[in-house]
Amino acid sequence: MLKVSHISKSYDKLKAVDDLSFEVDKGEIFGLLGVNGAGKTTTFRMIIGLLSPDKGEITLDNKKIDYSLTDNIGFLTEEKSLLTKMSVIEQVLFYGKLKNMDKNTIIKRLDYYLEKLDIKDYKYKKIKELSKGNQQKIQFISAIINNPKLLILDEPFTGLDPFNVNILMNLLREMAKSGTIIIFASHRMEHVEAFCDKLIILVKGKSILQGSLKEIKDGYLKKVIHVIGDINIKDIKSIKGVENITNNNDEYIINVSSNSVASNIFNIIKKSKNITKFAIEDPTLNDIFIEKVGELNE
Amino acid sequence: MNKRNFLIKESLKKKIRSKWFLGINIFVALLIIISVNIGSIINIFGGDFKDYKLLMVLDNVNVFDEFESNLYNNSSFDKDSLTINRTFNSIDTLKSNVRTNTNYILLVIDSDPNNIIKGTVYTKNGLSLINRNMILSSLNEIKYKKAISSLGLTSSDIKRINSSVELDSNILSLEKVDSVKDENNVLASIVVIVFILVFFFLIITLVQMIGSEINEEKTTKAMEIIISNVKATDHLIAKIVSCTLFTIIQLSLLFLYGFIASLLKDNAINNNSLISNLLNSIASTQIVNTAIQIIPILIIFFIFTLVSYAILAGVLASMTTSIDDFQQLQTPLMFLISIGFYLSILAMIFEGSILIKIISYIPMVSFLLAPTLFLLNQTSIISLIISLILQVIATFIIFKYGLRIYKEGILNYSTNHLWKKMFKALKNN
Repeated sequence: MLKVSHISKSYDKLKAVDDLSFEVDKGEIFGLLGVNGAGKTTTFRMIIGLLSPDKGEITLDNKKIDYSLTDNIGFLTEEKSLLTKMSVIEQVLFYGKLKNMDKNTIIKRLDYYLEKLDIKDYKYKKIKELSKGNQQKIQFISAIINNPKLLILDEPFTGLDPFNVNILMNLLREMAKSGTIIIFASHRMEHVEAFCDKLIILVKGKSILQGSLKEIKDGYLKKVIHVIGDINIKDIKSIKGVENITNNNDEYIINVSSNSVASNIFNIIKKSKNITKFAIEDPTLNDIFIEKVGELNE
Repeated sequence: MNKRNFLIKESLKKKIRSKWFLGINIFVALLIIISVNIGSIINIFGGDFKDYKLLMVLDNVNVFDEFESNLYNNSSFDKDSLTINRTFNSIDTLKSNVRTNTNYILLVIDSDPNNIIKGTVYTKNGLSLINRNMILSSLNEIKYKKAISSLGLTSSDIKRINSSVELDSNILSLEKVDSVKDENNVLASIVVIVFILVFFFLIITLVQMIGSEINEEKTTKAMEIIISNVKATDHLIAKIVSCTLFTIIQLSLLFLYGFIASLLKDNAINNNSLISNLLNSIASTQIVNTAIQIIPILIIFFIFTLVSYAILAGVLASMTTSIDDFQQLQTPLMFLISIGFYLSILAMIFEGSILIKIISYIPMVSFLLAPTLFLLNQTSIISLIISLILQVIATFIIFKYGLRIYKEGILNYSTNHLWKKMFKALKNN
C-alpha cells in the first residue's frame, strides 16, 4: 500500500503541496487531478523520492521510499523523457538496467510489449524517427518494463488516438489486477472517470476533494436532468433550486441543486404531453472539477 | 554491477562507439604519422624536386682548390644539387654555354688591386640565394687568408685569430646542478608549447562533452527518470569519471599515434625531414629527462584538474535548461582555461616573472602554468608539488559545494531567480 501522510513542500514563499494525505491499496488506480501548478508534479517527485517533503512521510508497504525501493517503481513523465538519439531497444535496455534488471528479461518483456502495442517493427529504430504517438508508447514501455509495484503516470495518453488509449488502458487494468498500484494524472476527465477507482483533486497544493468516484459523485448534490418533449420552461425556472436550463437539439438540459429539486421538476413535467425522455444523471467529473476548482480560484 | 558503474560504462560506451570518435581518431592518427614522416613520404614518392646546378670556375688567380675546399666545408653544400668544375675555356665560349643552359653557373675569379680578389657570376636566369651565399662565403675566406698571409703571420697566428672566444655557461643554483645550453631552451619551449596545446584542447573537449551530455539528459527530461533511480551524487560522479576516462583514453591514443609515427620514422629510408630532426634534437635534450622525472606528478595534476573542470562543467550544465544557455554559461570556464594557456606561453617570454610564479599556485590555472615553469627551469619541484596540493584541495572543495548546486539544478527547469536558488543551494547541506 502507498501511504502519503500529511506531506508539505514549499519553494521559497510558494507552498507547492500543503498537508496532503491519501492512501492507495494494491491493485487500485488512483487519479491525481488539478489545474497546472496545482502541485501534481511536486507530489509525484516526492513519491518517487526525487524531492524530500518538508513535512510528512511517504511509505510503500510501510517502508519509507528511498533508493532501495526505486527498482519497484515505474514513472512516466508528462513530457518526453526519452534519449532520442538511442534506438528503442537501447533506450529500454538503459532504463531497464537502471532498475537492476538483466538484459534477457528486459528484451523478453520489451518484445512482449512491442507486440502488444503493435510496434514490434520499431525495435531497432531510432526514437527520433518515431511518431509522437509511438514515442509515447516507448516511454510507456520504459515505465512498466520492470513490472513495478508502484506505477506513476503523468498524462500517459498524450498524443495517442482513442484506439491506442484503449489498448493502454486495458494493459494498465491488467497490471492493476496483478496488484500494481497505479497513480495517474490527467487533464482529460473522461479518462480519469473511465479509469480511476479513487481520486483526489488538488488546488494550490491542497486536497479539496477525495474519495472513490461514486463517493464523490454521491457527495455532490447537484444533478443534471435531460428532457425531450413539450415542457413549460417558465414553470420549471420558477422552481427553487433550478440553476440553469439549456437546449441542445430539442433536448433540455436542466441543472438542479439537489435530488429533491429533481422530484419537483418531475411532478411538473409528468403533466406535460409528448415527453419522450426524462433522465436524472449524476454530473460528470468534468462538471465537478470545473465547479470545485472554479470556486476556489475565484 | 552497481548503478553508478553502469552509468560510467554506458556513458563511456556511447562516446567510444560513436562514429565521430572513430573518424576523428583515424584522421588525427594519419595527421600525426604523416607530419612526423613527411620527409620519408616525399622521398618514397620521388620526383624531380632538386635544383641541380653545375658551377664552372674560370680561375685567373689560381685559388680553385681552396675555393672548392671552402665550398665542400660549407654546411649548406649539397653535392647532389651542386657540382664544381674548373674550366679553361674562353670566357666567350663559356658565356655562350650559360646562355643556352639554365643549370650552368659561370664564376670568374680575378685579382683586384683594391680588394685582393673579385668574383663575377654569369647565369641564364639568376643565382639562388643559397648558392650566392656559399660562393661569397668561400671567396671571402680566400680573401681573408690572402690578406692575413700578406702581413707575414704564421699559420698558428692565423688559427688563433680565427678561433672563437669560448663562453661557458654555468648555473650555480643548488637545485639544478647540470648546465643547460641555450639551445635547449628553444627546444624546451617547443616541448612546452606542445604540452600546453594538447592539454588545453583536452580540457576544453572535456568541459563541452560533460556539459552537453548533462544538458541533453536534462532537456529531454530523461534526467528525472535517471535521478529517480540513481542518486544525484552517483550521477555526477559517473559523468565525471566517464568523461575524465574518455579524455585520458584520447590522450593515450594521441601518445600511441605519436609512438607509432616515431616507430615508422625509425624504419624509414630517409630521416632528414625537419620534424624528424627536431624530434631527434628534442630527444637528446635535458627537457625530456626533466619531463620524465615529473610524469607521476603531471598525471595526478592532470587528473585532478580534469575532475575539477568536469565538476564545474557538470554544475553549470545542471543549472541551464538548454544547450544555448550552457554555451553562454561556460564562457567564464573557458576564460579560466585560457588564462592558464596564455600565461604559460607568456612564461616563456617573461622569464622569471614573479606575477606568473604567484599565479602558478592558483588552482584551475596551475595545471598548465606550474609544469610549464618547471620544465622551463623557472621553478623548483617543491613549487610544483605545492601547486598540485592546492589543486587537490580545490578539487575536493569544488566537489563538495558543486554537488549541492548540482542536486538542486538538475531538477530545476525555471530560469527565474536562478542565481538566488543556486546560492541558496550552496548554503544547504
